[in-house]
Amino acid sequence: MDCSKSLELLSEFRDGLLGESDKSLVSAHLAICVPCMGIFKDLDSIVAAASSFLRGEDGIAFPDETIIWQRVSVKRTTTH
Amino acid sequence: MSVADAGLKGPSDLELAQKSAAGDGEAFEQIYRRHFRRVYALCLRMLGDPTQAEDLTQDVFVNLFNKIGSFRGESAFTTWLHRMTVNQVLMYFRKASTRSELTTEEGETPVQIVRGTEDPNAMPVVDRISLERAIAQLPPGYRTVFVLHDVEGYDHDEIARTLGVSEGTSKSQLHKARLKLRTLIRQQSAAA
Repeated sequence: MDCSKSLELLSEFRDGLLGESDKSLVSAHLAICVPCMGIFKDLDSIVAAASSFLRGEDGIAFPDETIIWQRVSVKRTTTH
Repeated sequence: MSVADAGLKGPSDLELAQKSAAGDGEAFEQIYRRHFRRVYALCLRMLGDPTQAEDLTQDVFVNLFNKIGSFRGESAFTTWLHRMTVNQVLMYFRKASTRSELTTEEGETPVQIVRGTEDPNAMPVVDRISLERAIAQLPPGYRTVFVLHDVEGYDHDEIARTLGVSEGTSKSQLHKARLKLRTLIRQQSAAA
């Protein structure tokens, strides 16, 4: 497997969606290709960060819910 | 998880939905207060813009008010509202003529690997701020698939059905979104 094909399959490899044949080929390529392994690790870090940092409501600066409630109230009255 | 789902005191979402459908304004306000943050958070993740997220949150609850009588409790209220929110944001994208970005696979420059030029240590540790900043810069179609899959935990089958695209397109868009995020995060790091 060359770098181009490996790169194409990295996300599916990371997510465990490849069949056994492609999985083995990508795995073998990553074992000998430092650049592709670097990209794989970067993608894995991004996915891990997304699932750990961005789930739920932590870190979000919420607007004033009362102000938006007032806007909802006005709009639902005029459209209902 | 909502207050009712968590088994804490208070009427269930279904009870509040039924009261709301019968014209009980206070019940609807309770639903709003209970779910506002979750809806806003999802809108913000998908849109990447606080002002747009406020507007869409407002639209979601107006839509919810009009449709709440159709909630029968077959699924969890949070699941139902989550779906409604995703659909509202997708409708917004379509109106903004960004629909093509949800389906096309063209227009992105492929990542080129030149042997010896990739430094596996070059990408910084991914923190929340750099990731959120990069996500906000993604094209809407990429951002939608990334948020649904990697943040909200949808699988490709669900994304395909929600967006009306093939599973292959969903996989392709997710991969391109991740590669684009990698590029953006590295650029942020280089510019700092």
